[in-house]
Amino acid sequence: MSLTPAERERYSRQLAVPGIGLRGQAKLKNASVLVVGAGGLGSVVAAYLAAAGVGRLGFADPGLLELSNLNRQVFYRTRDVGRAKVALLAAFLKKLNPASRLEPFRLKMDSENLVPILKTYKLVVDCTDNFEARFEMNKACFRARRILVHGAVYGFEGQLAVLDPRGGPCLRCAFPQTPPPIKGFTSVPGPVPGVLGAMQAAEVVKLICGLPSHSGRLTIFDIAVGATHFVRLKKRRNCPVCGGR
Amino acid sequence: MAGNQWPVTEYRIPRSALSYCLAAALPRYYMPKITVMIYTTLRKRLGISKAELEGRTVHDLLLKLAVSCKTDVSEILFEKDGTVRNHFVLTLNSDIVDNRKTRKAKVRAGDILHVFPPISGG
Repeated sequence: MSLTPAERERYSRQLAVPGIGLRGQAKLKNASVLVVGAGGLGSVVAAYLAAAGVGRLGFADPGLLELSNLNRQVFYRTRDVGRAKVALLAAFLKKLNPASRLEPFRLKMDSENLVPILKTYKLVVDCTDNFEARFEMNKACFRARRILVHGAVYGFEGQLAVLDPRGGPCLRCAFPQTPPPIKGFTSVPGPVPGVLGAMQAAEVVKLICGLPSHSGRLTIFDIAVGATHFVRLKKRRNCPVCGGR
Repeated sequence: MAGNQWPVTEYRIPRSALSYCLAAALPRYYMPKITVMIYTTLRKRLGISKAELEGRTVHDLLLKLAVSCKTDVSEILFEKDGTVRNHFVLTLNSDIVDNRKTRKAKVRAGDILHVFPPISGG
């Protein structure tokens, strides 16, 4: 697949990156990615992927924009409070890169609708804000055999993992039990989901271009102290999601 | 920790010159010093992000960690039967330690133990 002169100009800075080049850019153009959640993480991931030239980009979120979202969800505007996030994000992304085919889903992803939707995409990015959705998505991705790029934030901390159903561990292998729910809301300073969302988008770009990825590792970003910690994930033999497969 | 700050402070075990002399003279009684890194809810409750503790197993360290600060976090960290709650992930030098086998997981001086739960914010 060849690029038009305008595309060569638009992507010139990443075409020069070893490992991406023309071949990688063509792979990005042919790629399809589903971003679940259009909040602090999801909006950043979707923006970077559209800008990078991902050909088909789906994003799902049932929510409306709230004033309390605006400390971290920087692609939305104050006057848009009360409007559906996916519609706002679609409008922003269309202006950012008209070549990207956008597929907004204004719905809550659950066990029933998740598998048929994510089967039509090659990669899935988890940007939801609760454990129930995260573990549901983990299950669905392993059932549909789609790579899941997991990212989550809490305060000045973030966790990132690439979970590959082709022999790799799943989210349940890393966290066999869901912790008790946090009272109230999760505290999140604005830049933290920005960092994690950008990291998730970088992992997606690497996966699409066939560059070495983060697979099988969980990384903890401790932004409070400026440190990173890697955890080697292992498949649990008795894992109810991927055990034995 | 100041009231509303995100805790990044450290806890170190108080040690006297005598304890160093004893450790040198009687290596049998020497307890390795381990760095324990603490995250999210536990960090918030304890008010520290890092602790330097002495112990021979991962379990020793967690027992000491639970009572190392003003707040006792034993209830958050342990089940009633004394095992570490399953939603906490323990890693010793990047490798996951089985929560049911913390008593058998021996530590050596210089090891780093991380204690963290999953997080879900997005």
